[in-house]
Amino acid sequence: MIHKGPSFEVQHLSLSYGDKDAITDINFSLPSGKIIGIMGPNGSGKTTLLKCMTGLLKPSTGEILAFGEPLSAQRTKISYIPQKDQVDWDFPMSIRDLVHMSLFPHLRWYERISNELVKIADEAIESMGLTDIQDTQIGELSGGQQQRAFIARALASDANILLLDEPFTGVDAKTTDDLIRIFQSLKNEGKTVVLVHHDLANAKSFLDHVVLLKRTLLKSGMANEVLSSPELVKAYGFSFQPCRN
Amino acid sequence: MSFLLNPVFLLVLLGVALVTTSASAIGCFLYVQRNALLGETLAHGCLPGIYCAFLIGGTRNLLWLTLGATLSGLVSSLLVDLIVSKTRVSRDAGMAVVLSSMFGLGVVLLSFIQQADLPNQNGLEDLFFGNAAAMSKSDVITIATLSAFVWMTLFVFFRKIQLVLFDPDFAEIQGVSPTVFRALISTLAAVSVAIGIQTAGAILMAALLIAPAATARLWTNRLGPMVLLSIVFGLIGGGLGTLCSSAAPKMPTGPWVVVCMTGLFGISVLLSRISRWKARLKSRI
Repeated sequence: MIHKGPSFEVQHLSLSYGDKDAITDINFSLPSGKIIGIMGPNGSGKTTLLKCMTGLLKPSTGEILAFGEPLSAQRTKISYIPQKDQVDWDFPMSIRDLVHMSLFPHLRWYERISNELVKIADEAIESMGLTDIQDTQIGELSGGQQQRAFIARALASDANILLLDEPFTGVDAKTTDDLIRIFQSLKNEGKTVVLVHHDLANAKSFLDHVVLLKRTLLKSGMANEVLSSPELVKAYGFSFQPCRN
Repeated sequence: MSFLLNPVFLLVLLGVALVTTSASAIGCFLYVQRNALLGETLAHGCLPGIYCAFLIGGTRNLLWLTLGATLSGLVSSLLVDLIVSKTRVSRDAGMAVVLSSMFGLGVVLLSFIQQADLPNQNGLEDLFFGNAAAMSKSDVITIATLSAFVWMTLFVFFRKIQLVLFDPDFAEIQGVSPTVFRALISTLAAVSVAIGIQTAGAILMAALLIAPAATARLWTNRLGPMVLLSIVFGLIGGGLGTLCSSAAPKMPTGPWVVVCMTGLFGISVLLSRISRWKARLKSRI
């Protein structure tokens, strides 16, 4: 089902680690079915905000609604894809095992994965072009294949929102282009893709919406608008002109 | 070879098989959690619990001593977590501090028991290196019951444990608590170690957890088959070790089991290197 209303509504969100404020009084609303970038300099609270949006971090104050409901009610509709260096790539697991993992919470211990669920997983693997290598151990995959394997897991879980923490870190330019194409096709299917992103150079080319942070919200809006605004200078300390050639 | 039909040998063989199956199964989860040293911490950490249980109950009943060992092992594991979370000490250093101090405390308690000349204390000193030959029928029944508990729990929660160990964030988002399942793994590891202390001893028990798991990892890239292979390697090592120790008089079972398991690991390393060389050679041709 494609949602027309906002995917996320964040109200007065603050989170502190001990005495240190990580993010303070953040308010924004994100559209559904778009590619959304959370941007800002290092230490601006991007990952903290993303983790709050998954429900992994509990905010000190404020509230987050997903599709108009508390996060706990939308748990199965949200899929989080961690940063590459936070995954144990030596774990004894194939792509197929990884994708089947998304089906585990729906199964009782004595239930086998039904043919119907296997079909859903197979379709997710196929949509990411991984069918021929689905029995390969995840550590033997290239950076792009690893990201696609995690996206396949998100698709098999029927998530409407994909939250990705720096998906382009450690992948080459071609893989970056491939991943952007995948995000665009997910958007066309009505999925909302929210990602922490660093690269100002390509941000305008594929992001529909940008949330600009520097411990608090500097600006949230259409990508073109935010990435040309004076707030960008406030965030990074310089204005950015993309290279034309 | 007449010992093969000896009821005492068969009882020891059964006891060792039960201990190795649960240890080698839970060992796989510690291995993939990159927490192999936890086995060492639990094994050394359970000694004070065993001796405290003896001091309180005045009995060498295995179930009672196992309860003390499990609790003491878990306290050791919690102490490591506490040190890591509250200080700047790294996890491996925290484990080294806890396992050596718990072992030291165990030695102190054993000395106290021996000097106090308490009744029923014979055999308590064997717990350092193990004495499988002293296993009684009731000991084997206790080991079988607790092993069955470990297998059943692992079987029932296999998927959730796998989820938590690989991707705790995804597990939490899906409503599977990483804290609960990590605690479950530590508890099952503590129980597996506690029932194996009589067989392999506190010093060698960790090898029964990790050697079969490390061997199995060389043969497979999937967790389910890894657990099954680890059990098979555990059983082979356990069986061979018991045979070797019984073939020659006055040979301890635990150390032989560990030597056989390490032998299987060595052979597997060699075979995996050979298959890699072959694959590399093939790709060049």
